[in-house]
Amino acid sequence: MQEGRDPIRDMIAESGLDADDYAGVADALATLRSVVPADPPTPSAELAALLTAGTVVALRPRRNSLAVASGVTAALVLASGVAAATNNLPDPLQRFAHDVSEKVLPFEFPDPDRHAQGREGPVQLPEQAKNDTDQGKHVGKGEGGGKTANPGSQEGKAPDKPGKPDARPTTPPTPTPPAPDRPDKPVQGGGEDPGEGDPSGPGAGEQGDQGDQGEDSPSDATTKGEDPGDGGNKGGGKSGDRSLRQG
Amino acid sequence: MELTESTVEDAKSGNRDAVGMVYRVLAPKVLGYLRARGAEDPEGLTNEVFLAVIPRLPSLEGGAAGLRTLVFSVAHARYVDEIRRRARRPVQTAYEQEYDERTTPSAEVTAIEQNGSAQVFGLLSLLGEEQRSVIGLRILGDLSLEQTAQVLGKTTGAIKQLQRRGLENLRQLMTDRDGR
Repeated sequence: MQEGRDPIRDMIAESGLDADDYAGVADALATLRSVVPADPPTPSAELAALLTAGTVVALRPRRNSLAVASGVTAALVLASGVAAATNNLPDPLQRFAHDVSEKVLPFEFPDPDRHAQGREGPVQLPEQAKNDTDQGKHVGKGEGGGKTANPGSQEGKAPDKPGKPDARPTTPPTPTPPAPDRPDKPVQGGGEDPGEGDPSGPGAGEQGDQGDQGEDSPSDATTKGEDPGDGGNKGGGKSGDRSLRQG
Repeated sequence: MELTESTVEDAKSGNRDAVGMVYRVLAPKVLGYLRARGAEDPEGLTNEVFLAVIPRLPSLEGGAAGLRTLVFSVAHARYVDEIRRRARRPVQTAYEQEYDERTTPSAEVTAIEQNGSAQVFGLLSLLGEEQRSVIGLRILGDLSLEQTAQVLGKTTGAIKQLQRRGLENLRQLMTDRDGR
């Protein structure tokens, strides 16, 4: 409402009332305006200082930017934490988060190395099996087809422990003495091979299967014990064939 | 004296003279509004209003009209705070005969009576609280319907209705008084 206009008449008109009927009310309300002094009240010392200094620049925008920055930082930390907890960070960052959590926090973020091994365990298996096969060939060249019982054992063992690659030996198994040297070794696990291993095969003679028995180290025997039938059976059959080809 | 847009812009940028002009133009209206509402210390409240408003000038929007709305929003809020404070902790003072209005009218009442507005104050006091607020803000604060709605946190239609009922009640009260 600008000066020069009569707010009282405006009020009456806006309300849809008859100006003539309300002339008395308008006159009475006009006297109200006499309580408005001509001069402002004397400012207090604090207000006088403010009026003398002019406007104080408010710090509100700075506080707002600080709040926004804090919010963004909190969101980033939260997102990083979630990513670290679900092992979704890049490997170096995940490793760093794991190390830090191991030392500082009461819980640990996943170790990317362990997870990688866990994921790649089954993938590495054929290579390991190949190594073992090579070893078996190497050993078996001079000692008969029975040496290749190990590949057969690995084939039987691998599906049983896909997520535990650490259980596999990382060093080549110590060559064991040939079977004839220990004829009286008790038959374990694949020891049933002689009866089951491809009896109709042309080279699946007793020597190959005997080699299977005799070559098994105690540790192999233990693993064979987990899956005695198939591993020994395949090993026996293959060893017989291979020993034939090699021979 | 009227606030111009350029004066308000200068006040926003911290010009001392412009800030002083804002105070000189609006402080009397605020003081009149607080007096009409019956504030205990209208001068002190007026100071508080401008202590709150001046630091907020740089972020002000809406030019002179926006400034007027802001000033009366703060003034009305301060008045409401005072009323609530009084209701919570009524002040008890020793009896002093010179302040007994039954025998000796106070200086303020004397001044009002001299201005011939005592009867209007008496009539206004018979209106509802919201109707008094609307009429006070519109007449003493020179606020428009929309500005009054902003100050009181209501819709324009509600303010229109309140002022219409207030005017009708005032007329009825005046008719009743003259009829006696």
